[in-house]
Amino acid sequence: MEKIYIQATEFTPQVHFDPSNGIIELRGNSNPHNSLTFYTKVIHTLEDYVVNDTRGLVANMAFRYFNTSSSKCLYDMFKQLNAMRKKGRQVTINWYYSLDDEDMYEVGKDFSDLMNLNFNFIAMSA
Amino acid sequence: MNETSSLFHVEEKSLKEFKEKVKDNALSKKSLIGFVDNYDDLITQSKVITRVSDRLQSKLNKANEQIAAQNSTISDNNKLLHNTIEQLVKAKVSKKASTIILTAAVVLFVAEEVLLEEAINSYVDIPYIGLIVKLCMALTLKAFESTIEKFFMRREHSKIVEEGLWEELEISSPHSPGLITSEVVPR
Repeated sequence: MEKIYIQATEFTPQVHFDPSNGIIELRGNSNPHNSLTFYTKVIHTLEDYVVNDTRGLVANMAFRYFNTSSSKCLYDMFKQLNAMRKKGRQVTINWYYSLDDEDMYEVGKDFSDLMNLNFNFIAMSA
Repeated sequence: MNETSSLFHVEEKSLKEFKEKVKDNALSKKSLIGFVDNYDDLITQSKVITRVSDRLQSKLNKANEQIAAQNSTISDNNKLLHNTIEQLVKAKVSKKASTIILTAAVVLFVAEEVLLEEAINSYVDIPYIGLIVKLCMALTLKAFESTIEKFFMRREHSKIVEEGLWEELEISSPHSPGLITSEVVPR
């Protein structure tokens, strides 16, 4: 499976997906012009990983802001992680948020509660 | 296909397939269960996306409030700075005008004492005429002082305008703070 690395820009997050080590990381702002175009490759590689690999995955999420269409793409990614968890594979989701950004913490809580996923909430100093 | 519809391409595909099954009277229990599962997933998606969007809108609102507060502080500070600069310029101009008037007064008083007083006394015989002349000179100079002050004040203002300081202060203290919205983000 192909390793993905996308450099962060002002409007798109840094994406680092390393299937060989079972790590996916997204950090920064996610406000792309076309979220689907931006996330398609990541989602497809993740789907491929869920179907064709047997190992677990560590997902590190550290967003400052993301738009509504990005939240749909994140939903699709978390759905894949949920499918992995249901298969009995180890899934760890670390949700990083800035200490002074309670809203981003609440966003993580919403994903966690509504999708029945266990998140580790990690506060970072601003 | 626009971005919103393509974002939901999987859901749209499932719906299309189900509609075709309904049309062909090919509904099975399995396809109904699949439809219910998809519907359930869509409800969860709606809940997640709506709640997350509300949270992030709240975050934007807070950021806008912060920007508005900062703009207000900047505006107040600029007004204060504007007044301070005005006072400083006034003090500087006033000092300059006073120096000029004082120098002129000393020169005129000495000239009057040395050159004019004797000549005046030889023409008119009024007691304290020298003192009266000096008083007239002092009053004239005092009136002239404010004219000089106004002249220098105008000159300082045009100098400041040329340097663009006032414009910078006015630009950096907008009356209506700009709002952040997800729509105004440049692409």
